[in-house]
Amino acid sequence: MEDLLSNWLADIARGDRVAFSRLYERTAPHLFAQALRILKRTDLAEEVLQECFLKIWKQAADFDGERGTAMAWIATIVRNRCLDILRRMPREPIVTAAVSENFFSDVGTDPLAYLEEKREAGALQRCLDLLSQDERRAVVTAFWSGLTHRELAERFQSPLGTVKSWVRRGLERLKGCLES
Amino acid sequence: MSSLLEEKSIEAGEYVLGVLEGEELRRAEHHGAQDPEWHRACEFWESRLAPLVFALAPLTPPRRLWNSIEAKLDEEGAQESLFRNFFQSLRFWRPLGMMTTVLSLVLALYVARGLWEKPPLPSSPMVAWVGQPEGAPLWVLSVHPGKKMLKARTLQKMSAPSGKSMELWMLPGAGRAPVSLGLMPMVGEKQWEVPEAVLIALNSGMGLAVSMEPEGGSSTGTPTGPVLYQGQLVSL
Repeated sequence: MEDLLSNWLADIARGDRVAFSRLYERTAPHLFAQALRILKRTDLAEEVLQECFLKIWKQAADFDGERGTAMAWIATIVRNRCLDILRRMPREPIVTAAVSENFFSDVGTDPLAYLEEKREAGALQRCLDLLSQDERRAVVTAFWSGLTHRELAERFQSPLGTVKSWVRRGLERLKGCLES
Repeated sequence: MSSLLEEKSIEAGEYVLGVLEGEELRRAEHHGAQDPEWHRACEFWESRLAPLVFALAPLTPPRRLWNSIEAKLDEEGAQESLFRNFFQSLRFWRPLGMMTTVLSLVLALYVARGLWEKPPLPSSPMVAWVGQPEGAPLWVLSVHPGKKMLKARTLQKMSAPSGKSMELWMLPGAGRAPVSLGLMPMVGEKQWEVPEAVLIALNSGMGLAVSMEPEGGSSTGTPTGPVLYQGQLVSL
């Protein structure tokens, strides 16, 4: 998938609309799922995706394979936009077009059970396996949902300090494993 | 690796996950503004964690999303070729010297600007009931495009804490900052004029929020106090 994405980005940088539509078809469903998890509103998620795909179209030439993967470049554009919006939203989001799909239900004790295409996770999955269950749940839930330390503590009904150290220790272990 | 660098890398990981808020978030954003090591640490986490996004069960967005992305590309493509034509026509003037070229460039830009259509004003009146998400509305707000006016009518008796005002904001969404629409009345009703640029941006479905601000409204141009009430515009 990574090769496909980086080739498409190179074509898009030359103005190739066909490559752009392929990239959209392949990535939009995952990016939409991600945006909905963070924003919990279909209208906002659609807006974010529109904005981000236009950005991808315009800035594809900026993607530098030396500095990171195409997957990361695309995912980061969308996640950063979602987190920006989330941080500016009123504390109680306006619940108008909330989505009722059950994937908003809490990620269970083992979030990796939800991974659909495990092969994409590769090294990451192997390293996540080294984390304790609490650490893994905290890191993966934080990443998918955009919840802050405090909100994670509420969701897991655990003390803030405990949750902070799950995240921290989880990241330390992940880092050690991913670098080796 | 020094423990300081190690510490920075973990903090970058927390930042990329999105768990930081308040003071911790501001400190992280401060690093981001100037520290190349911090950037590298963030890129490390972004690259390593990105597969999680693609591991989420896919959810196909509505067809209209792709249609509107394509429409935007077509629109921009058309504007670009318009510009190219202008620049090509400028070549004709080159022998007349630098001065003329600059003048015609200015003229071309001026003409091109005129060719872009202004977005239309909302054509129908809109209303919003503003209050707590689950509670009874406190105000009914109406937008009268023809008169370029907003009107807010109180529906309940209320009072703001002393030294505070209730300021109304529109929420343009998608990363754009809230825009002040003025102060809400605490008794009776109030009508006030709004700039055309604001009126154009108001559309059906747009979210509204009321925050508590110092008397006279936020001095920073963005909400500074808590958001107490919300609403959403609907066309009549």
